Amino acid sequence: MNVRRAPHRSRRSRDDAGRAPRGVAAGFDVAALRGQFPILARTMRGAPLAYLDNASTSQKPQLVIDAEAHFYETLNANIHRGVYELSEQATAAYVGAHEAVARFIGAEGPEEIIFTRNATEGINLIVWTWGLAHLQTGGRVLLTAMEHHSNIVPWQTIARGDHATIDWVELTPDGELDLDDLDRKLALKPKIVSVTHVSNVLGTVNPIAEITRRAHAVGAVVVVDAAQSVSRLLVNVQELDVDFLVFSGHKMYGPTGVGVVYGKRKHLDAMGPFLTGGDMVKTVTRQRATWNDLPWKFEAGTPNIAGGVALGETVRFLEDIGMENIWAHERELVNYALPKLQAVPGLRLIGPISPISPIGPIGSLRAGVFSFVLDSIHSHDLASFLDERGIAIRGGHHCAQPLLATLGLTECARASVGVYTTPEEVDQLVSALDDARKALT
Amino acid sequence: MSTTDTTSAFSPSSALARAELLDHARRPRNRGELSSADIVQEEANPLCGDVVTVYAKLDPARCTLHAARFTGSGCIISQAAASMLSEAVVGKSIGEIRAMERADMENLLGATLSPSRVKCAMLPLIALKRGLGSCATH
Repeated sequence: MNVRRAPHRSRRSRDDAGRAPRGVAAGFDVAALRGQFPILARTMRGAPLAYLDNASTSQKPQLVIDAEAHFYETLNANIHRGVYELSEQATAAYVGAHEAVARFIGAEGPEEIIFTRNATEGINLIVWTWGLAHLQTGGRVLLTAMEHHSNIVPWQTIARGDHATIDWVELTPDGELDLDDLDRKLALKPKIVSVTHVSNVLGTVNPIAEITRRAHAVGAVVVVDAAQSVSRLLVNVQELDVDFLVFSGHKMYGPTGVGVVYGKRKHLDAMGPFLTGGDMVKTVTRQRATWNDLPWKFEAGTPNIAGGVALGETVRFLEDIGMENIWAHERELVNYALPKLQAVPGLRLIGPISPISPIGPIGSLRAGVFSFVLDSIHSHDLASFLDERGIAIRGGHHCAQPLLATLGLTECARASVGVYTTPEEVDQLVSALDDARKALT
Repeated sequence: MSTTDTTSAFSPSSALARAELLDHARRPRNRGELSSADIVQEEANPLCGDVVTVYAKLDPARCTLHAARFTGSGCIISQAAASMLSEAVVGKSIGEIRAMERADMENLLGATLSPSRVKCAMLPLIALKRGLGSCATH
């Protein structure tokens, strides 16, 4: 394979006293890491860019950008078709990306890894294959009150057609899943439970292994929306024992236009195809077609080959840093930011507010996604105000209108961290929020 | 219409424009319903929850707008724009109002708006123009 990455594994920088720089978890050099993301050198409206909208999409390291360009420069050919060497190399690179993703999330093999456009398409794939087969005669789907629209609307769409019923697991006052309510709703015997791993609004990290254990006990299949978690936590689908898991490349420092569905092989084997056409078939006659092997049965047409190859490079990038190090860095940022944000007068933080253990297990925790309301300031006014200072945050409903309605809101502001976020950027945000309150209220 | 002498609404250097804007947002002019209005038109931006309802009374003899009021809620830009527009359109001909566009709203607000914020400023104008479109009085 010709896709080679530049040497980038960061060397730890120490100050004169031999201490790691502030805000840097062991094995993790934020300054060196930042140097790998060219966009972070930009200024916005005259100020250095403080990019705090990582829950929306993340920035891309040079080696991911290079991997996509390198594919077009040296490997471009269609996959699974040509018998010439270039096509074979392109195919090997694309298959290699599936293998890298399978290893990254602990799947049994690349046949369990389907590339889609994004997590939304991934949920749709599950809904219109597994869902269509199992919900046609009715049945219950269990979602939670903290889902993103992408894990609500596809289920609503199929439920309407097939008279299935959607139930919802409610939240505790702290913004965590109410596990007692989970048990109550599981007692209704849902056929499928679809739940987010990390809330894109609350930052809540849901205890997926526990949810899966309880769901399986009533015979339900479990789908996990990992769009916010694969870039932050070590996700192992076999340890979590989930049936399906979806995520997007672009939120994990990879390219846009490529996402992943993981499915247990037994499910994928039993499922019919999602989109049909070229490449997902073995033989086609005028009357019918037979389906290709996994995972290609679910990848109709020429896929985003360059994006897929770059996604493979993305997971190698994350593995080189180490997901434990990334999560440790995020925990530090959470513990640093929580009290500072809570101390801003007039600021009401949404989601769990207890500090998290610096060495605690991944369980009922909180990710670096901070949604808040600042006095009566509309989040778009706040985002515009911060934008003038080079700080990028999100305002609005965050594609989670049912959750915001549950919280009694129509919109809120959200700052979300990434691997390159520094405590200084948190300080910048906090100081600008103080200014905004003085200027806009 | 030129917008070169205006600055961004939230820039630290645009304190004057911001003061005017904030004044309209905090103490909106012509806020409230207008009884016997010829036009009542709501416009909403579901993405951010901005809602503006424009009420207008026309002077049929002269084809002008006689009075305008508004209700609603939302961000500073949308609410200040509604307040400022409700003053600016009084006495204007229907044709003049129909010809108003983005640059006119930016001039009223004293600010150049980024593409993502233009829709907030345009909300009351779109409501008013839509109301005029459905109004039989010309």
